[in-house]
Amino acid sequence: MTGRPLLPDRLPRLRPAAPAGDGAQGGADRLPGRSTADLVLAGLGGWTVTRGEAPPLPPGPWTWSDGRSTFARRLPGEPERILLRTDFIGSALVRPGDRSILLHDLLDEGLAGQWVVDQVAPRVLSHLGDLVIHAGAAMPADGAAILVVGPSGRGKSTLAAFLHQQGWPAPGDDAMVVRPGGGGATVRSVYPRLKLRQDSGSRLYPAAAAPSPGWKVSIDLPGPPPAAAPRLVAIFCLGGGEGAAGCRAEPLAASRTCLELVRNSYALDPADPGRAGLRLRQAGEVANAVPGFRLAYPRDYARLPEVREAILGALAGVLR
Amino acid sequence: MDDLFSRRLIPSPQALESAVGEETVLLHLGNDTYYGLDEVGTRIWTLLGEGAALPAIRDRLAEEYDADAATIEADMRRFLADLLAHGILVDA
Repeated sequence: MTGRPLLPDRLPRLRPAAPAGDGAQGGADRLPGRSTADLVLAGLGGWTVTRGEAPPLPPGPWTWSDGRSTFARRLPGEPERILLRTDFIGSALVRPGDRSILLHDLLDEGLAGQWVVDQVAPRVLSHLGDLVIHAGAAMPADGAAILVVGPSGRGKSTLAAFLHQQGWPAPGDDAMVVRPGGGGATVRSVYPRLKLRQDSGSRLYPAAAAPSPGWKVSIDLPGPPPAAAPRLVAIFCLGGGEGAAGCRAEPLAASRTCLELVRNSYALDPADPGRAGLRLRQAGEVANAVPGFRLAYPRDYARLPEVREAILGALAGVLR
Repeated sequence: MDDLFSRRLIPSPQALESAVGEETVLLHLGNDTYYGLDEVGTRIWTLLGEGAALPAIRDRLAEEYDADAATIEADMRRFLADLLAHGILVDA
């Protein structure tokens, strides 16, 4: 019997950061660069996003960080308020009770609207009860989708974009809402777009440009999202293949698949025990219903066709 | 410290669980650590959650898996010490 400690699989750790400063109450204006339709598309129809000065905020430490640039903390008292900040962009005060997001202390006005769709919306959807996974996606067959899950920078978006170019429609990328139910699961994107690091973007979409140095290239996907959310048929977890000579997809235990889903899930307030439990249960339900695979391959664009073949091989027993 | 098998251990209130296949994934909220239990570990976890005493769990496993009770107990001691060290189990 074993109790396998999964210590390397910790959630991102805290790191010290200065809390946002107090600010005077001020006026607000509209979300820059994004429309109401974008919020509806992202699943936040009925929410308002405004830009203004921060209300007075009680001092306190950040209670969560992604280990890189994004920080969160729940403000004391009622109604519920959660403060989110991403370095070099700004802060968002999320008030679920009145379905509002106040952007403040913006350092980059041009990126703020995109930040709401890319980073804030997935976390708010998670707060509202959805399981939102940081993953790439592709549709190998009509009405069927796969997820590509893995650490940032491991190549999931590059692989999803390559599969898209090879004729597999991409329902989206980066933030995917996975809903278990009916003995299976469905998947939809928070926003129908591919996001690629600049090296992958210039390789796969030479005409596209990043909004600013160091940022990802954003490729809007053509056409409307699928009318019905496709069925999730497999979950491919990247990692462990850095030294791989060949491309292979091997079945993954459901418990490991569950773990990968939880590790790569979005949360607005990751320290919230009730919602952490819900994510764990949802991930377990998805992992019980959808087969997972460990996908290992050399990090070489020229080998991506072989990766596609490995995925197809794994799907042979899944797509019926 | 009393001998491990004379203690009454229960799952930590900080531990959340999700049954996945025949295994269990645990999350310890206090330290953001995930923990995976295999099939036998899951059985022990279930019996602990039902309030069973450790000697009773040992005897039950020996019967269910047709194994020697001394061997089961030795494995259980390692397993339980691991869970206690990570705060997954606590004294009642």
